[in-house]
Amino acid sequence: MNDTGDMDALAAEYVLGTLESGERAQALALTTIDPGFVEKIRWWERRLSELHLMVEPIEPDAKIWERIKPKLPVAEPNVQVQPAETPKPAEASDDATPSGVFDELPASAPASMPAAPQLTPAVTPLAPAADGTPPPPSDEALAPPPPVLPPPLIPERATAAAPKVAVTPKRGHSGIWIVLTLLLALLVLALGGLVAAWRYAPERLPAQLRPVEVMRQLGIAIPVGPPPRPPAPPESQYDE
Amino acid sequence: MSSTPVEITWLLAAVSKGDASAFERLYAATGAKVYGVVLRILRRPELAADVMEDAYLQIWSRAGEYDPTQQTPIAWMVAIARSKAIDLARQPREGSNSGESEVIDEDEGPGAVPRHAMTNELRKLLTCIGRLEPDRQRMLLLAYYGAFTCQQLAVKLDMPVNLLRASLRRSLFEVEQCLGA
Repeated sequence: MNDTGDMDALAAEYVLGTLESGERAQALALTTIDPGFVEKIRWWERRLSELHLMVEPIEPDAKIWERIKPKLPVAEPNVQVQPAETPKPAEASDDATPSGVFDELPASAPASMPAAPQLTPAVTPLAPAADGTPPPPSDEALAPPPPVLPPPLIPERATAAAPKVAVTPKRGHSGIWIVLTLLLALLVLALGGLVAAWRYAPERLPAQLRPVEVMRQLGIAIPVGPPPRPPAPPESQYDE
Repeated sequence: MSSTPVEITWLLAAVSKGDASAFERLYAATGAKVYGVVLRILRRPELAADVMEDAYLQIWSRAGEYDPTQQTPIAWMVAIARSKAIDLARQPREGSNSGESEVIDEDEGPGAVPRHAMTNELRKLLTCIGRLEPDRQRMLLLAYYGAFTCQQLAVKLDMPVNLLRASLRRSLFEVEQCLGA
């Protein structure tokens, strides 16, 4: 056999496994300098390894896997990649909520959970305002208790800002409040108009609304000036 | 082993991306076959366990090198483990199997392969081996499954080592020609 034939035979015997340890070491050294030799080895490996099909499988001892598992070099970094990705959606959707609560939840939780914390600031101002007590100091708390003109804005802003889901259960409550506020505002406007009319154009008011008549109906004594003295009879001017 | 070559190929692809759970499934699907090959060469479970550890750590780090167009995934894994088993078997140690009289049984020859497990590549290989004289067929298969050295084979087959080696080389050459190198 020529050199090429020897090389082919060496590659075949290397894969077959019949080389003595010294020959095997030489063949291994050849693989580092001769790509053609490596290719020959690969060829024989591909051809002969099909023979494994005739080998009976033998279940290995479970301890073998226990030895392999902790030695996987990339296992730890790979595991750390996953937790690093999950908090991202939580941070993105929770910036308005108290931090730290959702950081440890699985990625699927933030999709449904943030509605709950938002419900509280949106709805709480409504309840105290309806009671007539001052609302807590928040954006909505700008509404002053005297129901002049701003009060109607509160329910509108609260409705617009709060998620629909959060407002729906309170809708009946706030509707009553809106009506009360509007009635109160109308009453204030009417009284203010009446006062202005009394001052500037009392003669245009219907008789029932003129100050004298109103006060008379309310039972208020009108401090009328001393009635004009009838002219003294001529004969009485000498009585004093 | 119930996993198909397609499933094992898929697991190897996942392992090449660092999927540790896929690697555990790959081991569960292939460990018994690889262990059978390795234990057959080394005969001693503690040595076979060392090779299994070495081989699967190499499979873990080199999974991306597997080429599905060249061979089945299990054949690729077996080749890695088998090479390591031979390396270990060649290391001198006390109580090595060189003096053992155990010979691979005839019934573990080509006829033992289950019909459903037969592949085109194996059928082709067995056809080419089948063209050799029966003595040379047995010599070749004995060399592969036991990974014996020529010296060990010569003892087992009771023939001069030089003659055995020449015969073996001629067999390999003819099989190579038959397969169409």
